[in-house]
Amino acid sequence: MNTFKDVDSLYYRAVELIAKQQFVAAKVLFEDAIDRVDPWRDFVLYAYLIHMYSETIAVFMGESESALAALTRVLALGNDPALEAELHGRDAIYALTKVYATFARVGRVRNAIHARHIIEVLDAADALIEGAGYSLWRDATMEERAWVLVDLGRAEEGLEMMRQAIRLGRNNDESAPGMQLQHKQVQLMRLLEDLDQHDEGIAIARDLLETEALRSTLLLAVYRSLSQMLLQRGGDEDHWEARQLVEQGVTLAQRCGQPWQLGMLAVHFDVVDADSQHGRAVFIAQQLLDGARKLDTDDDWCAAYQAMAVGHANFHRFDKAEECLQKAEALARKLDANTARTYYQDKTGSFRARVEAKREELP
Amino acid sequence: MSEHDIQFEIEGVIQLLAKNLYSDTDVFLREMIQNAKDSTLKRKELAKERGEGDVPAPRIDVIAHPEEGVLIIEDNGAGLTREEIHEYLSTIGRSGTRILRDQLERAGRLEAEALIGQFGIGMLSAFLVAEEIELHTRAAAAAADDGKGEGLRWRSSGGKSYEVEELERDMIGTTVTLKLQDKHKRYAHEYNLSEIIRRYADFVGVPIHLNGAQDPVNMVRAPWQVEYDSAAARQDAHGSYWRSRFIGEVGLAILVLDEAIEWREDGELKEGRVEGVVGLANSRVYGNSGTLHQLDLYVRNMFISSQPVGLLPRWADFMRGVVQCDQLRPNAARDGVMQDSIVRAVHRALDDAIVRHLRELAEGDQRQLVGILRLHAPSILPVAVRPDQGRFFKAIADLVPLRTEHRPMTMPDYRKTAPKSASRRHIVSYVRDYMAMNQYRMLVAARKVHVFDASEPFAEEFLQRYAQTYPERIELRRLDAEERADFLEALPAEELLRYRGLQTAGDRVLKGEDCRVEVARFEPDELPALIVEPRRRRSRREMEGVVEELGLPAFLEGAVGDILREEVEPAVLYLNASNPTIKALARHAPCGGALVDASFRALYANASLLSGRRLAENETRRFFSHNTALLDLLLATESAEIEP
Repeated sequence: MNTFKDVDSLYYRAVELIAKQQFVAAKVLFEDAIDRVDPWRDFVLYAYLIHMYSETIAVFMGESESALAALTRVLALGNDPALEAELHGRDAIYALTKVYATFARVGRVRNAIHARHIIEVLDAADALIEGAGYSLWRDATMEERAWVLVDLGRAEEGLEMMRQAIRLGRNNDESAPGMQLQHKQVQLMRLLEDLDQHDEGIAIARDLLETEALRSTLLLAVYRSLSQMLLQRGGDEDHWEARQLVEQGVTLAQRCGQPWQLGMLAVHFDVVDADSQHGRAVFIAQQLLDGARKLDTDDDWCAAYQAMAVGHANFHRFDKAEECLQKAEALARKLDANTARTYYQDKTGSFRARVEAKREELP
Repeated sequence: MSEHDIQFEIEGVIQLLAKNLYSDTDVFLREMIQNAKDSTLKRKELAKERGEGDVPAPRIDVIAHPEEGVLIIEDNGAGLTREEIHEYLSTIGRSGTRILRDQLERAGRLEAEALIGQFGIGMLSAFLVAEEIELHTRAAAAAADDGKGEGLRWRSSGGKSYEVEELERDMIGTTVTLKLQDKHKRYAHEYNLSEIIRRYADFVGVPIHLNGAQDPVNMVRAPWQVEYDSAAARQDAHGSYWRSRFIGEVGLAILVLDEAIEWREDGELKEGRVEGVVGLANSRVYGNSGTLHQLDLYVRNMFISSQPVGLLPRWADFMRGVVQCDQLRPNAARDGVMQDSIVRAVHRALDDAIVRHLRELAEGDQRQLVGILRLHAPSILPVAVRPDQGRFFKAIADLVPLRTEHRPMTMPDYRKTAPKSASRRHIVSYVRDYMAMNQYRMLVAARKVHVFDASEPFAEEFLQRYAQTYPERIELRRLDAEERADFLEALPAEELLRYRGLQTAGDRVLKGEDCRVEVARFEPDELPALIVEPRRRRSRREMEGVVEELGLPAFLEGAVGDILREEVEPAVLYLNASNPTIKALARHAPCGGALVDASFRALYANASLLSGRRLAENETRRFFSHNTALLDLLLATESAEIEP
């Protein structure tokens, strides 16, 4: 059997395993496929495999650092003069655009890299894309740049950049390397949620819910953000609707796979806690903790400790709550260190306030 | 010939039907067959009312002309009078069936239940696929009343008007001819028709003959509607039916359903039944909605849906079957049922029956069942660990095999060879990281126990739930936990002291590898060293490998610098105090020297290889040179000894 067929078969089997949530087995197959490709001979295939592999291990297994190492390898190779001749074709630019965007996404989502250094990577990506004459493909980097700008404290620029990415994305067909248009709309909704611009965020979320054939993972993001924004808006009907959305979201998350559940569980915790279902809230906090243990990522640990703190406070175990808050605060400082804002610290602060409020309720 | 207005604009209505009511164009055939079947019932009723005894056996014919794109559906039912044509065929929402059903209900006739065509839109659904419909009919009522044998022809192209004219026709009954739209000509192919008829009208109660075949294409009556001489005959008939319905499936464990259901409505307790046959499938097929199961639901013998919402327990994705519950209320499109207390009652009944059946199987020969459950573990595990699924968890806890280093095992199998703790519970070992399995395989083999591979989704939660549910049975031990290493036996303080020199020397030599050394005791004795590496440290090593091998372009220096600056826990190399090589090294270590340094490096390299971790190119080169250096030293020592 020739190598290409081997790689092809390994790739498709890996993708099939991802669909079945067999991530470890998929990772092994991807590694096997990558080992069979010599990047100096077939850079495009190598880059594409690394892109898929990195997304798999970062998203589903929490192995962001290993993903970044693999992506760094491709970017280093992609800038090696020995490969220059290979890097002019459409396929090579396509694969590299995906790798640059994935590098930026993984680096920023896990806060492993300072925002200003991600901008440097995105600048290099744009230079490559523009230089090769594929300006329309810049929507892929714009989407990431939007988030990084927000991380650098330039919120309005970030929002405008995301809107520009959507406008540009409309001109692209499905074969472009950027994420699909619906993905960008979901990102805009999440940015608005992040920046507390909830009215517009809620409106976009509702539009997205009306969208036909929205992919399950995107639908899940909509359930999560919309329920969170409704909860924060705080009306009686908002709370009722948030509860319904969370119920649907939890069910869907279970079908999408374990890694998707954590984001949904954090909102589920808030809903249940607001309903004073203290036992159930602790159970969910425990699930968050188990998930964080499994993925071992700072943001998941932070969310789990935040919930655990409130869970303990509900049962008047304030010393335990304090312990959790301190852990969450340390992680929040670390997570915010690579940005110019205090997103995680503010969020942890709101959990501290919830714990304090429960302490004050004591006779 | 006379031309009449239809009371609604059909084109608009058809679009409305297609968009909002019918999710699948196949349903037009169900509607056609349902109309035909209702007509045969009506003829029987009329004959009873008139005291006529000589009514032909009901029959429906479906005839396809693929070349012309024409499909004909013919019945020997009651036919339609001119008034009925105007009344029923041309007015949306007024259905002859409904009127008939009301009459029958008033008369208290059981047949009323057999009629489900209650929306008055059935015929129009043919416009989903046809560009023109022509209906020839001769009414039993007319024949009896005036004896003229008048036939009628109704024709419509889906516009606002239709034509009706008289026609010579001998046969009582109705023939509907559809001229199919180009894009729907597949409905004139026998294979497609057979499949659709089987799905939608298997139990319609009237034989349906396709293209004049002698044998009907449908079952006519469901296996649960037939009397049997014995329970075995009943089981056999249901099993055969299941296999004919789900071709290609092994159909292990076929369960015949005949369950009573109860629900409350307006404060009143009501009763009903759910009947059918479900089986454990041997394959996993994803449906359109992402769900796996296929449960063909029939209400009053008419197919409703193959994935009805809310009926089958969520964990039962691996079941395939056919069920019938005549109390369920179909929605307007008849492709689903109203989500009410009856659905919940059916859900409870199915849940009870399947769990009961799994328990019965577990008491018999489990081997095949266990194999099937392994296949379906991805569906079973996530649901089994849900807090609200305690009963289901208990039903399958001892039946679902999880992967081990050897082969998948159930918990009872595992416990047969598991050691017991001081509290007399079985110690159940598992690893979360599949990559670590290679290393632990030797450890557990030395102890003659197995280790569960909990890297598959929800396997760890399943084990945890087992330990919570049956705390008297097992104690869980995770082998690859960074915070705890259960397979290691700590050394007594005075023995540890003796190894202080070994540890210090190891720390010194391996500092460059970001690895510290600890001494412990573990089995097997012949294994000198093990490595436990935190994940982030492994990633760091990978990144360092890239930088060393390729260098970095300027735009990546800042980003990669941030990653490499983050503090990570070092790896730990555990040296085995029971191993002769380690004992010998301990004697030499305090003195140091090139051989000691090379030995530590070789132990580190070997442990890394044994752990099965992926090595970066630079590591491979380094390990190679470490081992070569050790060989050189040994050979030099030997040469010095043999030289005079």
